[in-house]
Order: sequence, then structure tokens, then C-alpha cells
Amino acid sequence: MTLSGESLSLLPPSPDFLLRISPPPPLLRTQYSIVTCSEAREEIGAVIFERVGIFSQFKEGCQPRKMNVLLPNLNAESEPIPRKVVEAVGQRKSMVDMIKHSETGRMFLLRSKEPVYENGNYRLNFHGRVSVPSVKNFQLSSPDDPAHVVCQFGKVGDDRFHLDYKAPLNAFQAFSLALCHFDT
Amino acid sequence: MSYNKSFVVEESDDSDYENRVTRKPRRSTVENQQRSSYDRRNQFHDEDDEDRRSSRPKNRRNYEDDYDDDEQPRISRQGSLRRSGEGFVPRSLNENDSRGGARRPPPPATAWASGRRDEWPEPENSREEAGRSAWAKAVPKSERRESRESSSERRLSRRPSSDEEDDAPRGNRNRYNDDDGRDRPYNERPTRPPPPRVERPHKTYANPRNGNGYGEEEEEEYPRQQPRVERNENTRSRSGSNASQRYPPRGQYEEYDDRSPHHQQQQQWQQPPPNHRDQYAIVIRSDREADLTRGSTGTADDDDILSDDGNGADIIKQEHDLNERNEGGDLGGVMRLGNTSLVMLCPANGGTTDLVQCVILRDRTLGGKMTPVYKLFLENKMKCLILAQKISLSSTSNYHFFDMTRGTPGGTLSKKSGNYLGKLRAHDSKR
Repeated sequence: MTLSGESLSLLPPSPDFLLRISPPPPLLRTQYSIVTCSEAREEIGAVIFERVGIFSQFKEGCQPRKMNVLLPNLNAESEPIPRKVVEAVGQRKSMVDMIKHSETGRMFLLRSKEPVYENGNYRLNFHGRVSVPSVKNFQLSSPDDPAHVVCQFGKVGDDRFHLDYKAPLNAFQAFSLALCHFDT
Repeated sequence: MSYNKSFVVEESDDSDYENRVTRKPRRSTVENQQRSSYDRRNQFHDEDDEDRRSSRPKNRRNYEDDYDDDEQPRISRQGSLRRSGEGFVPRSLNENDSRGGARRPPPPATAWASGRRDEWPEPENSREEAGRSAWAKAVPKSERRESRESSSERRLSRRPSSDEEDDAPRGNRNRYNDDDGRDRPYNERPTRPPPPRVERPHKTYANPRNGNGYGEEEEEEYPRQQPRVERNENTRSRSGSNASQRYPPRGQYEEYDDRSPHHQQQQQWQQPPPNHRDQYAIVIRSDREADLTRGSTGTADDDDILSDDGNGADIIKQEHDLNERNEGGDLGGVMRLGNTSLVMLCPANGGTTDLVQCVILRDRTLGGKMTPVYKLFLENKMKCLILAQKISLSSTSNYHFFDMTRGTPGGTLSKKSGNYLGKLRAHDSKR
């Protein structure tokens, strides 16, 4: 970088831009948002994974993931109402921030069902839909009623997975939740 | 073992081997043709062929001994014949008779049974004449062989001749019994008058729908299965009197002309009907269901939305199923959302409905391991719903989703294609 009278711009595609630091490793990617194709940034879902401490991992070993999902309300046509995101100060926050601050309102908040630890294995009842044990297998339910499963995902083969869902989820949202596990 | 008729075994010394077996000339073909088929089967009946008769096997009975000139012919009980060598030997089952065979009463004397074929009347019917064999036509009866005075001829006369076999049906070749009980040849069978005509009522067709039986007098016509469709100029039918005026003939292409009525009519069909949203009926839902789908104006019951309320609901099917269920009217029908894709719709009333089962297939061949392609299929019909691909060379982990229910996107996937749904964006977390 050379000194010059003009102001320096370190953002691309400025000629002064030289290097970009690589993004954080995939292990720290714990926040996802589902965005629609509209020009304005509209979200129809958000996912946050709870971090597991290194100490607890050494102590208890690999533990199943815990995720929190926030979904918007549905309109009269069973469509999710997209939420506009404005990152300006004092304006609406993103759905990820709403989960962090527990400001869900009347939206649908779902949590992953905690598996039962038996004989050294974590077990969940997928009703015959999942056959291969994997850390990616999960079940979503309401925190008020854990027995009522809204979405479940599990591995069946090397490249084959089963995904089951129902309201208030649609196919796009359920598919997005499943892909979050592939990236984490 | 078949008996070779042409060889006659004679007693001779062993040294004279050549003379032991002599060959007798065969009968001429004409002579063979003159003989009846029965005679050909039973060649030992011929009196002239004494040599052959003497050379019969010993276990075979003399055919002529069974039927003497004075005695009545003996026929076995069953009337069957045992085949021995080339001929048929009557089978005898009666133990009382030393010779075997039960005695039957003689048949009534008829012109046919007498064996005198010369007395048989010539058939007058041309049809019967056509049914006669070629031999019977060629050789008249007067020129046929008359050496049938022995008992064997009498017995043979009971059997149908070749020409008689051609005339009589296969069921009963010998004779038939008329109403009087007399035996008559088939050529003398009288013709019966046709059966009387039974007059039946006019309407004799049974209507299975109304349960009418046969012969009832109801005049109910068979109803049409489909109502008639009134055809007018707006229908697409190519039939009718003025079809040629409305449509160009098939196979011929007219020049493109905006002013032609044919082109104008096509444009009318291609335009979407006005207010297409109003054409679809809306499902009448209960108040409870309406609260579930309501947005920010929901009531206080939104907290227990996921609880089981016990209401039955229908799962929204794919677009082609939606059209089938549209029965018209306010009570029937399924909701239609215009241009909204199926993948953006939620199953209605998630309380009691089952989970929608889907399958995700990962394809690592496309784009390599760094950018795999994921496809979401509906497990019931294995229909591809969504295709997702990870974007390479990106700072954040993003997946782009494409709607596959509206047709394949083509070779490359881009945001500008009409089936782009959205993306999954990862937020960088801070330590």
C-alpha cells in the first residue's frame, strides 16, 4: 500500500484491496436464515445451533446438536408471511436476532427433540423412517409439547435421506433445515 | 407288430432260403379302389384271397366263422371291434357262447339292410348328389361288384358303404329312426315343417338399470350416459355442418393472418380467463382452522397452535390433483393460490395429519464434493420438488433453491430462471 493524497479504500473492487481473510471454519457456522427470491431481503425462517463447549466435548464425547428454529406466521392461503429485514439502527431485526433475544412473538418456535441416552447410544423414535445412525438425524417439536413431532430428518444410505414434515412447515423450509446440518 | 400283406411264408427247407419267402404281386390300384373302405380294412374277408387267409396268425380267429350263412351274425355286447393286425375282429364278451359274442335280434329287413344296393333309389337332391364321393359318382351302382351273396356280404351290408358314408352324417351312419319307429335311410328322411312362429311383444329389450324383465311393455329408452353438449362456434369441435367454414381443412396450412377468424379464435383461447382467482372455490373451514392460518391478527389461541385439536383436514395435493377435486360451487373445491408454487404451501391443520414423507438424494458427481446437488422428492410419487446446490467460491455458505414442479430449469441453474425460490444463507458467528 502506498501513501497518496487520495483516500484509501480497502473494500473490493478497489485497487488498494489486496487480500481477504478466509471465512470462519464451518464448525462456527451456527446461524442460518432462509431468504426468498424477492428483491427486498425477506426471511421466512431462521435456524440457530447451540454451541457445545470444548470441555464438555472432552468430558462427555460427541453430543447431538441442539437447534432452535423460528418460523413466521401463515396467511389465509397457508403461505408463510415473509419478514423484511432492515439492518438500520432502530429498525426491525433479523429473525436470528429475535431468537437470540427470545423475542419470537406469535411466530412458531421449534426445538430439536433431545434424544434418550441408552447403553452408550442416543436414541430417537423415527417410526421406521431412519435406519443409519448419524449426528445429522434430528426431530423438531414444540417446546410446549415435545411429543408432537413437526419435522424429522434422518440418514438412510450414503447419499439418501428421509425428510418428513407437516404444518407449519412447507417443503422449502423443511429442505432448508435439513441442509443446515450438512454444512455444520 | 404290423403284418406285411405282401409276403407269404411257405414251408421250405432251410437251405432253400430264397424260395422260402416269395412275393406275391399286389393288387392293382383299381381293384383296391373298387373295394369299400371297410373291405380294405378287413382284407381277410375276401374269398379269393385264400393264401392270405391261411397265413393269418393262429391267435386270430377266423372272421368268417363268426358269421355263418344260416346263423345270425354275432355281435359283441359292446359292439366294439378288436383290432388285430390289419383287420378288425369282433370282441366277444359272452362267456356262455363258445365263440363269444351275444346274439342280437335281426334288424328289420329294409332295402338298405338287404345289401342290394341296386335297389336303393338314387338321391334326387342335388345336395346329396354333391356329397357323394368321387368314386360313387364315377362308378354307377349297376357296375359295382355283385359278389355279396355270402354271409359276409350280409354283414358288410350293414356297414355303410363309401358313398353312403359321404351322405350320412357322422353321428349315425347307418340309419335313423323316424317317428313311426321304422328304419329309413337318410336319403328318404322326410323334411319336417318349420316350427311355428311365436309372436312376441314389441318392446322386448330389458333395461338393466330399471330392473325390467324380458318382455315388459315399458317404453323407457336406455338413457344416455353423458349429457349432450351443445356445440357452438366457441367449442373446439371439428364436427358439424359449418366446420369447414370455421376451421381450415386438416393438413393444410394457411398463411399467418391476424385478421383471419381462425387466428382470432385461437387468440381467444390462449388468453387467460378474467378473474381466474374467482373461478376457484374456497374451502369452508371452521373457525378454529381459520385462526391457525391467520397472520398477525390471530387470537390468543396462537400459543397452542401445535396442539391436537382433533379436527380432520385434507392435505393439499399437487396441482393436477387440485383440478380434479374442484367440483364447483361454494361447498366443494380446493383452494387455489394462483401462481404460488406447491412447495411454498403448508399442509393444512398440522394437528392430526400425518407427516409428508419426502426423500433427499445427494449427488456428488455434479459439481464435485465441494458443491454437491441435493434433490427433494415426494416419496409417494417420487416427484422432484426442489433442487438445491451449494454455491462455490463464496465467502458464506449459501445454498440456492430451484422449484422443480414447474418443469426442468434447463442446462444451467441461475437466479434469473423463473423457478428460483430463494437461498439458505449462513451468518458468520463471532467468537
